[in-house]
Amino acid sequence: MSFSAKMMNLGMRKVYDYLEKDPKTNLPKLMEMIDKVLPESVYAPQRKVFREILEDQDNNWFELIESVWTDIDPQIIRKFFENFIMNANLDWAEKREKVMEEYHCNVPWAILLDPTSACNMHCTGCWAAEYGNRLNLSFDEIDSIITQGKELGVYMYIYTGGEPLMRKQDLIALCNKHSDCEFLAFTNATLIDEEFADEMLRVKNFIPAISVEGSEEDTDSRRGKGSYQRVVRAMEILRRKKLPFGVSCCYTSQNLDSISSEEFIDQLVSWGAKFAWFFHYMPVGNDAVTQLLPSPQQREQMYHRIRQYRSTKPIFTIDFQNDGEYVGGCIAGGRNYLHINPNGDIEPCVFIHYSDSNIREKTLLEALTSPLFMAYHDGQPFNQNHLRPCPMLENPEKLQEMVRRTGAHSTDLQSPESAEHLCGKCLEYAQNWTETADRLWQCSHCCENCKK
Amino acid sequence: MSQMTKQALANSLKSLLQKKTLNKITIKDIVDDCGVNRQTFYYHFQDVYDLVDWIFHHDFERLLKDYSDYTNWHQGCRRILDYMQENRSLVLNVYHSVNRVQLEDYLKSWLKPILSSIVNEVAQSMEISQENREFVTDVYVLMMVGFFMEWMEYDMPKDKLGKLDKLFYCMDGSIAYTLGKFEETK
Repeated sequence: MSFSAKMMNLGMRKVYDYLEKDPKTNLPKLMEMIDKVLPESVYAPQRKVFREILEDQDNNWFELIESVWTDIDPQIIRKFFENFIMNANLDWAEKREKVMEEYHCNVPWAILLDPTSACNMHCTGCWAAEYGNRLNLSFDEIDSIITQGKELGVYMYIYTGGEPLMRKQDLIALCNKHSDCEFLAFTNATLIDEEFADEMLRVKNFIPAISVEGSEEDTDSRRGKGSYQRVVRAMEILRRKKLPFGVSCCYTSQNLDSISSEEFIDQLVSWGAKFAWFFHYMPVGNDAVTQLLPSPQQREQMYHRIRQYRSTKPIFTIDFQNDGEYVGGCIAGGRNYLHINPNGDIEPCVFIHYSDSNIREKTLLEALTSPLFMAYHDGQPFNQNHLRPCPMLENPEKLQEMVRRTGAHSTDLQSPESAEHLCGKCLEYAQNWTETADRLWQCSHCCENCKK
Repeated sequence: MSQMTKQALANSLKSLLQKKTLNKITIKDIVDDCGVNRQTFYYHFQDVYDLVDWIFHHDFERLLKDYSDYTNWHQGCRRILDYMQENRSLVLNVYHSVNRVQLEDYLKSWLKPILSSIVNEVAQSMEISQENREFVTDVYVLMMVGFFMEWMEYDMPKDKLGKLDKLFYCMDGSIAYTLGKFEETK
């Protein structure tokens, strides 16, 4: 960290002390100070949004911020402030710029990794199941990934899987060792018990994103009987111990209506979830069916509903497939994140199971500068319409071309799927979606009719 | 179980300190000596200094359990000195290689409860504000800490220990005298 960054870090911590005393009054004052300290250009759009939230305190976002102070352990909020705001965003921005300048490659904000392919559940259509049940990244390998990542400025680590909590002892050890990083885990929540919650309270930098599928019926039908009640019980423990958590939801043609219903969102808020991340079903894997892909009408419904909740509900919702406009399209390939599977293969995205680099053979930086990641770097954004961000789902010819050109191989060890096969499944979807996507995009960008 | 693992790691560190300085000791050295893997160390501690921190807290808790009423505070202080001598290499390594202020903080946190209970006992029959009681406590804590710190600066020589008796001699009765001044000027 540079001297100026260190000074700022120190100053910000003092500012936080002040903020903590009376968030409601002091948050707007803090924002004023930040505006004075930071150059105009840094995080300008984000700051503008934040200012608006603070000016009119009678809105859902302010309600969310206030609920954080009442529902979550103060020490954990402080840790989050240091790790997420100071490290994963401010320090990251500075370090990343230097690396990008030198190597002309993408430098991610977050690294997603699968500690294990093992899972204690067997859900229909789960892509993790493809890897089989036996692969693991060792403690030392994950430790090395994080150590390398921090040198590039990455302080945000997100566990996918498999069920990450199958390795909960190691995950706590990693939180403890890398106490300057923020960790998040996509989990089925069945392994969250009182004891683990106490460990989370101790390390303070571990946030679960719990998988739910909408109603009890939908959740149990995909994840097995009793799954829903187990999730509810885990959330009760987390809430009682004042631990932060969110949910992650996969929407398909089958569950889209219930998972995007207002009832469901209200339920999430009442459970105490602070964020809800929505993922579009992806037909990845030789056996994956296309019937589960949402129709254009369904996806449009999702588009409108999530936007509506975002301006009315005290929960942070993101729909990764429909929110490309806020992040400039595809965020994979190391632009904002990358994925490392339990075999060590470094993949551009959790859904793109092709790779030309393995963490057991290359450093992170070498992977970022390898042909596949450079193809992402040079090709992004894959579409000017950010409602069609993905080189697989909405632009299937792009992924095929990149895989062919770079010689990346399928990382699916059970049943390797060719890029042609995978992308072939998306062709019809991509064609059907284009018209709706273009209409919505135009409408949200200087539409004559809506005067936006 | 977890307490036992922590204690085993602490013992390994203490024994390694007989051969190496603190800044030369790696986590690998400790886990090899202890016969556990790296993740076990990190499950419990962030780094070597975190382990040192635990040792001081944990040992001291045990140490002062027998002196909880502080009636014999001389003995309590002597016990601290004895502990520091028994763990000479640990204490001196911390003094020389880590932030000295941290060691001062340990000493303060150990001595403050002792001196605070004495001050409060003496002040029981007097009309003295809480603020002034704390002030007097702090003055005596700082005096004791200064004594200990200087002793460490000279590598904890045995012959300097005689000075502790002189220090007690100075302090005995003086607390009541000092508190009395605050009562007069109220």
